[in-house]
Amino acid sequence: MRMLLATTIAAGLSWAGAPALASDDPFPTKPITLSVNYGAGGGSDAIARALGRALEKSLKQPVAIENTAGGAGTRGVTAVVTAQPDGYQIGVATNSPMTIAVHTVKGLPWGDPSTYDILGGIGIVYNTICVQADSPLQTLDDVVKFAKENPGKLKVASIAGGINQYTWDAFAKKANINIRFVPYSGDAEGVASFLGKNTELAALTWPGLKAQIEVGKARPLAVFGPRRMESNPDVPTFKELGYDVVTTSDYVVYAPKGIPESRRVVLIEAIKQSISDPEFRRVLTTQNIQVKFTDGEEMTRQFTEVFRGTAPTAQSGK
Amino acid sequence: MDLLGQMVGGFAVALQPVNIGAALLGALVGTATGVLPGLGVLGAMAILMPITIHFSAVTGLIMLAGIYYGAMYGGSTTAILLRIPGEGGSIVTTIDGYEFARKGRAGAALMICAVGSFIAGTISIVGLSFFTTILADVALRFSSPEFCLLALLGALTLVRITGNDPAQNTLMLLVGVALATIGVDAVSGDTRFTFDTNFLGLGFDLVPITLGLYGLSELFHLLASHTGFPRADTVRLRDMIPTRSEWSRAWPAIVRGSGIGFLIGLLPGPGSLTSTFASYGVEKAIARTHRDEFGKGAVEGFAGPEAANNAVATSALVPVLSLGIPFTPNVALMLGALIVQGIQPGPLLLSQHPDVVWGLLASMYIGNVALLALNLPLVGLWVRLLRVPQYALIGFIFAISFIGVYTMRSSYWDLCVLVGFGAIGAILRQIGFDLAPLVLGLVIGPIFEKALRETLFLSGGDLSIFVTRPISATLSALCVVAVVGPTLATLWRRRAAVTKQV
Repeated sequence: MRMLLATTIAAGLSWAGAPALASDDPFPTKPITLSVNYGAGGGSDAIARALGRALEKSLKQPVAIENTAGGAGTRGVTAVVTAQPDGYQIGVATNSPMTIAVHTVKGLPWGDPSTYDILGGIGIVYNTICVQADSPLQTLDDVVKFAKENPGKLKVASIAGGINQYTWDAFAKKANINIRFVPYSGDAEGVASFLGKNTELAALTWPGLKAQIEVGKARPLAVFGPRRMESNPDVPTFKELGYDVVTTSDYVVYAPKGIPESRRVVLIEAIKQSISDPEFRRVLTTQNIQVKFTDGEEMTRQFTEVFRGTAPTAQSGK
Repeated sequence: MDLLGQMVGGFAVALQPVNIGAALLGALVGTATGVLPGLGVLGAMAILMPITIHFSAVTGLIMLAGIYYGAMYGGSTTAILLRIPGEGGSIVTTIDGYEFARKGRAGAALMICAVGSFIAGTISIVGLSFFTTILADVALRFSSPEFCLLALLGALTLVRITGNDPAQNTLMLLVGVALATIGVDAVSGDTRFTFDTNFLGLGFDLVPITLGLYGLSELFHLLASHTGFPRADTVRLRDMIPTRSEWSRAWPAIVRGSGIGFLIGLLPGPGSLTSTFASYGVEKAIARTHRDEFGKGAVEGFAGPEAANNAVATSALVPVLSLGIPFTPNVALMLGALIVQGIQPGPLLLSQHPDVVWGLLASMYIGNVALLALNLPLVGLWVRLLRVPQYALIGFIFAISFIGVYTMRSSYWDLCVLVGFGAIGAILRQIGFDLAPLVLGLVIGPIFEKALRETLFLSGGDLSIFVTRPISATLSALCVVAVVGPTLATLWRRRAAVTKQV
């Protein structure tokens, strides 16, 4: 009898205490896996590794980086989304696989942003359009004017399928111009082709072109962001110039759906602390990524918007 | 003088104890990586990259570069002793290197490779030190149309690399090209020929296929024929040292291989692999007296390619140091290591961080000497490996092949590919097909396809782009010669024979 009573009290106590006391569910008690959806060595990988080190400081557990490349970045997302929702497997990715490639890659066990859990945004990247340093085309208006007079004559180096093509297509449609889109498989090849003067224009991310912009080999005409960049305030936005195309690439940290709320809070807090970690900031700012924490809900809203917006474009683009 | 001053500054950085240590550690890890099949250079570099963060940027870079070129030293070991390519760059070495070892000259082969790698590395570093900027500009003149034609030219000439009928080789080449189209299309990102299955979506990776075709099929063959790996009954010093005639045949091939590798390393694509095929093709084409030996253990057949892949490991740094453009994943990883340290690689790297660039270059001179010093004594050890009882050795190779392939991307499918191609390889060899063209097709097919599609995007579908650009025009002409030339030569010989009879 006494035994039963003790058990009941203990059960009652733990029931009452569970939501309030995080110590009931100490988290994390073992290493966490941070999955990145591109191979080792790229920009995403550098960010994941920097984030991993920053997270270790606040979570007090090792954070292992797992590179799962392939499927236009979707394989890595699949690995995270199909994992146990226990908080020990999280991922970092940009919106390219989640909002654009998701429409073209078949058989994914996930879909729109409600099928996974975005914990928060950590960095923002703008796309830009550059011309050769010695190009006679001085401004965006020059390019549009020349392209209208000589349809199909200018060529632009870019990357197929992702945010780069989506952004370019949106701009070309708004400006009503016909410029030959030459898709390369990555920043390196696109930039090399542009530097070798095979194309007059390059439409890539700012980090991809940054090194060339700094030495004056590439001249940025405008950025696709919602406002000018703090580092380059003299470069206008497309919106200012009358082309209402605003896109960003966002790095987000996400997890499978259904992580216990108490663990979710711990993870989000750790991500927020990482954002102010000087080493993490340095890795991102070196690549000209704007470091900023964005709420998971806000990120989900933005992703859903792009996801819906790209659905028809991505399908007709096939 | 200025250049000399910078070089001296570089050595001042490289000779700091921590940097010498980094170069040695990198070279050691690299050699081990190269020796173990399946464990890729990229994997080793990725594993060690986080460690580099605790050191300065230049120390980290020196370590990563050491792994990269160290692996090229080690990759030849298993290729020569066991016919298992340790790295993609040593596939070609399995052809003549293994045959050479079967003649009881395993030690000599390894020594030639070590010295050849050293010479190639040194030639490349000198080229890299003095001509980086010029070379980068030259490299930019090559774009999609040129890559496309280079791939075509390579395929056309290399189907003749082995003794077999060119028609048979072309067939194998096309099988390789076809296999490479399965999976994710590199241009659009769509999946092709996958029948909506996940495993075909992964495509056929080069590592399980080559490890299957060469390594496993050799094991099957050995088991079926009740023979064994080349024996090394004695490991006397005399058997380790190449003879004078072997040297005199090896060194011109090493120099040519270095040159070929250096140039190919400047361009995008899997340089270490293509350079070895190119070097092999060249050696075979220009061989006069020893032509029949190719495929049966010609010294030139492995000395040249081994030198070539080492030269690539160095010259691949040119585009990244001068332009900030990484053409191979390995170099991209080094670039990532710089980014992590807050250094933006690019055209300004040389002027903003001369200590990093020149320190790295100077460390590579040191690393190469260290690798030579490390590898020469190891030759004796490796040859002793062949004295391990066959049953243990074969089991060990099975195990290590499976582990290596599985760790690559944690896929059971790759294991099926490994075993499947082991069986296919054994059958193909039994009926007299050559395997090298299949691997070549697998490598060159995607390069050709991607470059062709990019070219047509660039020209708007106009094929004249292949003859209007000067470099393209030259390459097109060479392609025509490669197709028509041998036929004309045969006709000519026949006519000459006819006239002689008359």
